[in-house]
Amino acid sequence: MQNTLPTITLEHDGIQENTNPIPKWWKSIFLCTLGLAPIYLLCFHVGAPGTTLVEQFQTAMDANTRKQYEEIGNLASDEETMVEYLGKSQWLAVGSSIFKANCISCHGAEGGGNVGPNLCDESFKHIKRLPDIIKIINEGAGAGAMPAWAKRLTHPNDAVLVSVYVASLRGTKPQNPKGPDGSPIAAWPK
Amino acid sequence: MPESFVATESHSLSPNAAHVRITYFDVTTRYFLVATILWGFLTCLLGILTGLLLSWPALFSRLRDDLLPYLTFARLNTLQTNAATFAFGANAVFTGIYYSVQRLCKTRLWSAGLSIVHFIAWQTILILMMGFLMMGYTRGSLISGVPWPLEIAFVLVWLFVFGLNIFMTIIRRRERYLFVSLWFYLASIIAVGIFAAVNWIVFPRGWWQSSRVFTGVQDAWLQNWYKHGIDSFLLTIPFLGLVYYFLPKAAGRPLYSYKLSIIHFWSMIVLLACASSRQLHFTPIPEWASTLGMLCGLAMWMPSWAGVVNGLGTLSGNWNALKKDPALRFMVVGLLIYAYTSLERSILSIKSIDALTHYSDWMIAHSHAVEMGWQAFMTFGMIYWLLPRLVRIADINIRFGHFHFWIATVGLILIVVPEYLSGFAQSRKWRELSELGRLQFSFMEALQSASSFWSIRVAGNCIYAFGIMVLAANVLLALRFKPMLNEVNVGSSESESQLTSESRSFVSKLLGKPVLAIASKLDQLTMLHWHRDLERQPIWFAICISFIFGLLTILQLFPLLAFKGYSTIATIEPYTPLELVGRDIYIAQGCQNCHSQMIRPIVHEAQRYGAISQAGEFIFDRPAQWGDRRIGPDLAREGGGKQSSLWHWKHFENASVMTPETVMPVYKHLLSQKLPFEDIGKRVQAEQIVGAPYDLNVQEGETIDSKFAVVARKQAEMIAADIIGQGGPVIYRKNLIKDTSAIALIAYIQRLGTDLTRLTPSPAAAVSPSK
Repeated sequence: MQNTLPTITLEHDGIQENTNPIPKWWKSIFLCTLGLAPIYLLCFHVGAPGTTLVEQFQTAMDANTRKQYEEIGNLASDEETMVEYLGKSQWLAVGSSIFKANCISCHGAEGGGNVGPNLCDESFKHIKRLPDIIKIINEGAGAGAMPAWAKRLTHPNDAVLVSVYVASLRGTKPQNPKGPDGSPIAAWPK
Repeated sequence: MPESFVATESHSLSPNAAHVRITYFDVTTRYFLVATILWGFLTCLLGILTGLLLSWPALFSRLRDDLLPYLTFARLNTLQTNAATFAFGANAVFTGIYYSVQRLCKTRLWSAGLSIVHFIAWQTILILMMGFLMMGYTRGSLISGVPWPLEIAFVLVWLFVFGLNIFMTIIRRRERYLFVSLWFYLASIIAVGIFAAVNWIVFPRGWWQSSRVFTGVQDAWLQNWYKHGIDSFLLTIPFLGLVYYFLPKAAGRPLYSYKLSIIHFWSMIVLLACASSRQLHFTPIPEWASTLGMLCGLAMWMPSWAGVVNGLGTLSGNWNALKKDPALRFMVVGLLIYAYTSLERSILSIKSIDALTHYSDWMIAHSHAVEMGWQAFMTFGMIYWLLPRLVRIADINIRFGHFHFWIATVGLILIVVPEYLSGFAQSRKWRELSELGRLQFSFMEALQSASSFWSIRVAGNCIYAFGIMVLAANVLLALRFKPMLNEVNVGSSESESQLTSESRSFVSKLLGKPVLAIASKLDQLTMLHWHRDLERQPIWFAICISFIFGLLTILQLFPLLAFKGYSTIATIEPYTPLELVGRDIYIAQGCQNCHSQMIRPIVHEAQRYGAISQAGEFIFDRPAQWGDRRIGPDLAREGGGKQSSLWHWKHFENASVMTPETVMPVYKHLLSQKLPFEDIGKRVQAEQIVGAPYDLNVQEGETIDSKFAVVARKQAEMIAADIIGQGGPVIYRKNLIKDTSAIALIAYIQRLGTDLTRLTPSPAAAVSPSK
């Protein structure tokens, strides 16, 4: 920028002020950012359906739920379904992500136990058969020591899938396993 | 005194003008300058401590229980944020304003004594503020936290000790027109006065505590409005005024564009006054407020850059001067950092960008770039420029100045760049969804990827602090010498008309040309001659600023505070007495420094934390605790048994036993502190007075205190029974656990987020009827 226009004789404590005009690029960009306002308002604030933040969220959430469960519909909470999904690694990964989001604070990052029991060993406190895991997850146990998750998981499938994942942890070797709680039970059916 | 040590200037006058010799009063400037450096160094030290605590959470865990609460990350972070704003920032502003206002008005400060009172009062307020914040007397938000008597002192000192002095100096000026810096100073004085006065309005509860006037969404909006206002009008606007004075002085060149400075000033004031809601995107505030914040924030890009254009234009390519003068170097680089951070701020105002960056370290990187980059560099530049003009030294050692510059730059880069990287890592891991739309990473995994960068910034902070020590050494060496006596000869006011007159014409170029009369009239208006008239009249100028600012404030406050359309929850109840004191503990411990309580309408957040937060859930939150960061997970739906009460007990005792990678401090002092149940009645009463529907009727033989003590004890016993039933201890360090403060805090946390899904009154409410 050339500061060469004649200095005006405005002077404040030795500071002189020039009369350079406002740069054109400054004016254009400023007007553009101001001009965005009516456009944005027209797009989002005239009451068209689906334009508020909450409505956009609902749409995205519905799409997300569909994406999650399109393939499998509603899972039954029985042994057959659980055995079937024990073999599906893709859905075990889903169960793992639910586990990571909700369970590791009490059961440890690999299910080895912490405040809650070790899920990787052969001893179980409240479980006798596979569907019991779903029941415990939904309803809790130990006077609230194990919270009831039924209302917190976004979909009943979540309880089934995370139960399948928990079942798959049996026999794995976590890093710092807690000692056994409860008593040994029969192996899961194949 | 020897002539050579008195700096004199001759104003260009016609020979018949009468001369007056005035002496500028620079004592206060020197005091504030030293205070700025000391507080700046303290802020840096606090930053090093808090940074260390994040990288090494066990740093203080071996201390005695009663020392622990003062040294948690939350307390030190609160101290540090307040110090950066009100200690370092404000003192720097005062230094510059006291020096420049006298010279721009060609008159000695109106009251030297008042300025000394200002200095003493301000430092006293700061010391008391730090003390109280360290003890946990916070009103629940990061910057507006001090006890109400201090807040009153703050307002009174700001308006009637500082503001009055500056304003009267301007009234008594010998310079006809107000220079642009003075506009910025006036705006800052008026605006900060309004912000602080509104923030001061609380219901006192005893000497040190107070209840805020509003609750929930309205309170959260007010807290944010205040914080944004202080950041804008205490830390940005006056600094821009300082740039307009000190940069041309240091560069020795004319200011680039007078017209641009007019547009700069008014567009900044107007847009900043409306932009506060840009920090509340995706919260339950009305969406028009969020949009207003976004659009004003975006529109602020060019106004902010007007200051940069004016500053760099003043330099006009004379980059060599930077090599010679450390003051100019600091100022110009600071201005360039301002250019970057103001563009960043405008981009962060966009809702979809905010969705990515809010709560992450990105916001911290931005804050540090602003405060340690732009504001601190400007301050350092100003100090280096002031030193030779405040003391009688033959020459000043500028090598230290250049050395300081490079240290500060290296330190700044090592602080800010890791924070950008950690913010980016955190945010990415929070958001990542698998092909099937599931969360890929746990919160702790995101935290771990962020924390790998944190130790670098501690190193950067140490380097930066060393730079401030270099500056302090420079200043100490300079202040050994006697102060400079700054005197000028100025014309007396009668001879003002003999001053060289305006040679600038305000006549439109379109006059006489073949255009419509209205065209030449509009063109005339754009020459802004009316503004020139306004610059002669500071009282009208101040009234204009007050009117515009007041109008914009009222236009936002009234709709938001009076808005009746917030969503409500039919089954909501006020906090039980035990939960109420538990909430007080949450606030006093500063949990908000790491934990937010706001689940935004964004898919990955709803998946991670639960149903999105609604306005009706917060109506009994006084103050709201929405929070600004997620160093720890969001707690909005942590209640209702999501973690067992035993888990919370153990987590407060020592979180790292439960989660090895955690940075949560040890709160075991809460587990051995007895809760004063007898004081709960007064607390409930204070809450009822300000509007919460508690039933204060007592039966025969009981007082309010005894009634609520009984109610609170019942709930405490229930929670203690839960903990014992889940395998916890009956006695902890010689106290029954049901008597401890931790139980109250657990009660509060177990309440969080449960109101949304409650169908019937909770068992706890059944023992403490509220209606």
